[in-house]
Amino acid sequence: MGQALSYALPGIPYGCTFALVAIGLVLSYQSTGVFNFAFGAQAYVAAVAYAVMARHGIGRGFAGVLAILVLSPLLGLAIDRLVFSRIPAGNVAAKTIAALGLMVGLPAVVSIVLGPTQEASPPSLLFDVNAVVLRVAGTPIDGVQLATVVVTLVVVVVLTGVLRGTLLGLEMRAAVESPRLLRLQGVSSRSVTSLAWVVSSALAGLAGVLLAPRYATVSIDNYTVLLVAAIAAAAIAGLDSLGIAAIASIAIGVVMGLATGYAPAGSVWSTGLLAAIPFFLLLVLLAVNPKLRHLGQSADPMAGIDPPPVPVLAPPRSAVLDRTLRVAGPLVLVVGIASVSTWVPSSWVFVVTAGLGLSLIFLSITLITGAAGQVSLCQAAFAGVGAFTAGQLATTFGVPVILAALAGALVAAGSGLVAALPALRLRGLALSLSTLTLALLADAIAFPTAWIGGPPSGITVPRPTLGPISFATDSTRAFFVLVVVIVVVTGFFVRRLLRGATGRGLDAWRQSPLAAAGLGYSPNRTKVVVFALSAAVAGLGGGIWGSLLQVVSPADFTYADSLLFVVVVVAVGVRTVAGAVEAGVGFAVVTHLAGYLPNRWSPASLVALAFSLGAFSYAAHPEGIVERLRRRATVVADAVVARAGRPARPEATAEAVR
Amino acid sequence: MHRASRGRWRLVVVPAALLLLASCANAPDQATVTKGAAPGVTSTQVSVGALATMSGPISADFAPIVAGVRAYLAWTNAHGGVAGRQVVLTHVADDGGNPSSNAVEARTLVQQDHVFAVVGVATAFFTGARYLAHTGTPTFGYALQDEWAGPRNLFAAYGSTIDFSTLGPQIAFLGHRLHSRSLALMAYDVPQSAGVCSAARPALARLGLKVGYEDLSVPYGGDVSSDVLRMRQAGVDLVVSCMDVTGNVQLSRTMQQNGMSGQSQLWLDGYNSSTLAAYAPLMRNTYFVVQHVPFEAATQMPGAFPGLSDYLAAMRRYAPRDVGSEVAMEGWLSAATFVAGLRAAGPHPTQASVVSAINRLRSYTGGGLMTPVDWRVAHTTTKPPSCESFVRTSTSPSGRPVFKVAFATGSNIWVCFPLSGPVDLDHPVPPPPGSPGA
Repeated sequence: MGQALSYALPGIPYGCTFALVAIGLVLSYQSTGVFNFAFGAQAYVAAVAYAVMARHGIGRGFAGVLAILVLSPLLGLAIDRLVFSRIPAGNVAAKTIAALGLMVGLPAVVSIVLGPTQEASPPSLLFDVNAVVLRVAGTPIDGVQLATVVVTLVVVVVLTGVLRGTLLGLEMRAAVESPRLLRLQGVSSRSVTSLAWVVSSALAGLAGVLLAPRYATVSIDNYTVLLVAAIAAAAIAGLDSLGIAAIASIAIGVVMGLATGYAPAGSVWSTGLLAAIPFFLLLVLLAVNPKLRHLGQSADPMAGIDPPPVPVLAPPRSAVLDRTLRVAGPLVLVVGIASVSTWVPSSWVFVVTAGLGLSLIFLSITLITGAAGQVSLCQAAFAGVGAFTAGQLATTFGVPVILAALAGALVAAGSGLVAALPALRLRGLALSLSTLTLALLADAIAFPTAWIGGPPSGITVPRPTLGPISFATDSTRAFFVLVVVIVVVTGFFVRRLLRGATGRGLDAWRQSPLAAAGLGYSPNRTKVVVFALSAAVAGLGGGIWGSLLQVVSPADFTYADSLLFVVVVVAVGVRTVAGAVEAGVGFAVVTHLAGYLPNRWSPASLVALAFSLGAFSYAAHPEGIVERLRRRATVVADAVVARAGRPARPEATAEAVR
Repeated sequence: MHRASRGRWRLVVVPAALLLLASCANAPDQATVTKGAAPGVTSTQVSVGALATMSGPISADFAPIVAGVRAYLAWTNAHGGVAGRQVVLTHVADDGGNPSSNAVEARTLVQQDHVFAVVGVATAFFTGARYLAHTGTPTFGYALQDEWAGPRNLFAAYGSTIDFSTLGPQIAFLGHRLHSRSLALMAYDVPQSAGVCSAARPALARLGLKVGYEDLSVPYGGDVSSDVLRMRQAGVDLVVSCMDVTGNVQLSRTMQQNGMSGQSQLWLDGYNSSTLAAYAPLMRNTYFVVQHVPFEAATQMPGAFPGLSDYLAAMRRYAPRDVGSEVAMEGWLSAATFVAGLRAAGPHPTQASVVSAINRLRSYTGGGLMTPVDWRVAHTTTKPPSCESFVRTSTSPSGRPVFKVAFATGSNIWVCFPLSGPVDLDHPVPPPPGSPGA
């Protein structure tokens, strides 16, 4: 009994660290209507600011106040005014993508401002982290643990009181449910929502500053690790009750403490399965709790008075311009491919080939997000399944790598089917959460397993030969041509799929699942097909990309990559095959160009920030930046042609661009 | 008709695809070697690159190598350079701790940046090693992996072979001196960490040291409270940590909270003045084994280590933030080895001639900073005896936390044991001739 207590008691403060994040998630969702994936990133920003101020000799009390009560609220206000207030309440996909953009963008801003080196752990805000402040049944409780427990209790009581017992709390919840009805009562829903963002951001700041001394350095990973258990606890609370979220978090902490204590050191239990507890808990909850399946869907009784969004039309263009573009487009493409195959420096050949490899993975996002309208956050994990299968088959069993990559695509398709099972009952935000859980599960547990992801130093994926043609290290130009062929063939099939019955079914499902069902489309079958196909495409891309790099490791297919990939494709163009290719090549080229900047400018962070800013425009321009620019250019070019005296074609093409 | 043409189309495409797939195979890993190449060399400059983990959660363990390289090159250039040329670190490639990025960055340094040598490799995953070896690029750095061993153009700072088992007698020596009755081994579940601790285990058993507890699969950043509770139950009085400084701090903090602050610790990472400044209360009774002359030898044994004085003076001038960093020392030694080869290669150096010149050095001490390395054999074997020096944390007369050289005899700071045969923990063998201070 005494031993059980000694294992269970540290779980309480441990669970309270989840609780602070879980409470933040519930509070944000209740008061802003956004499932704030970026809560951990906001906490990280506050923690870094606090650590920097402490490092420069500012007293920890004053630094804490500045970080929690000044910087964090300002950040929340900026997030609301610049990002979320511009997104219609019912656009769940846009809100999710904007939150992901923040999750990627905020740490990038920190890295750009302060450089790539991580801040050392700051001193504790309230009590000393190295001092045992009290003992409970012989178990030592340090200053940070005590502060975490006390602050969690205070936060739960105060915020529950505000949300449930005050007019302001009522207005906050009303602003989420129906801003129009609130406005009819003479209350500015916009101000109420802004205030809600200020409060939830201050809570993120509090969590960030409080937890920072627990770790040796202030790292975004520390806050993301808390996310899974926190989401599970928030899910137990149905994203509704702060108190239940806190109790659930503590229960998870205690269970993990007990399980860690009793699991033999070094066993498979302690190395993997224990860490999987929150993941499986969350997947089961998402599947069985009917309340969670409809997360994010608007319950606004006045939502119907908004007119439907105007479909994006292809701009009109004159016959001359049309003919010119029909010739010039393919010509530029052919000249580009010929140049890369012949005279472009080999380092750039590698970059463009890497971009094409990425574009294969991005095509999977075109399928699931662009066509089906569902934000899947585990596409990098599917790519990893393909890459590791290809690597294991080629290296361990000597299977030719092209065949191994195709086998990788099949295995990834199988993984997609498995992923589709919990997703069958989910859509929108719940589906995104389910896929994020799978990505985190792959990242934390599956891929680090040696028989899946190989050793930590990575697994070799060889280059292929086709008869007498070698694509070895010295033959990157030949490999480029091979990848072009694979991208063209895959793109052709994806395009055919999108324009065929499956694509039309996906269109119907995206716009109205009920109407699609009425027309005889089975949403479950469609979901399974699209998940499997997109996973297969991602898996093939992973295998090819791995063969280019020749070494792949779990570090290449993290959950953060899944998020970044979605942000990049959405920013550039998620609806078309061309958009995926432009996103892949564009991302590779921009990343390479950024590499010329000094390290202190954090080139990778600059790239991540640029694309995450692009993702914020998804609500207004779902067609993506490149398509938008292309349309503008077409309008300008058409005006130039018209001015030159040629008659412009009068009617707009009414076809909504896919 | 349409159906018939589609059938014909399949008749052509399907066999063609099958034929293509049947002709698939895997290409051998190869790269071009250009004989007599001297990329990056002009009449006034030799351009070199570095390849390290400069960003991400583990960057603090590797990034300081660049500071050491820069300092040595600046010091060399301030003394006239090499054969009238300045040696300049023109490109610093960051692999972000990602194995595939490491291979890509290695290729970029050679193919795009055209560096003469890669001086200052420090990363957990040196996947670019094979490419650099194949291309004959002179490469220098911090060995944590077996990839360094073998190729004649890869030079790790203390010799290119890694034999973790040599640490066993050193740990046993410390346990013997501290009269330890039960020790614990703690490591992460990665070869660079678990491999060190597990390789030391046989020697500990052979030399009569009891391992009372071990966990060689600690998750990075994971909670270690249950480990500490079990250590306490096992009566552990010496904790040997093969983790990095982040894990060591976490472990020490948990030990302290559980009433184990009196126990001694041996850390294989964290010998750094900035770490001591930040975590002094957690580093009481902590020992370190180091392969170079400890920084404190300059003050404890003035005049005995002129090479260390040069190092400290140059680092204070060119890289003051990293003076007390072991990883910066690896960078300094890497650059010193390269410059030694460049000088020996004469006024018209090629990559091959520099490699060849270094491989003729038979007693290289990096300017008096380590025991001699015989580069004629150091790519494949460790020459006996195996020597380390010990450092422990202490308090200065003014009450400031400081490091001190431990177990030194006069100016002999080295504790050496034979690689094979009987080991007498009471009587370590003398260091090899030419060892600094001995």
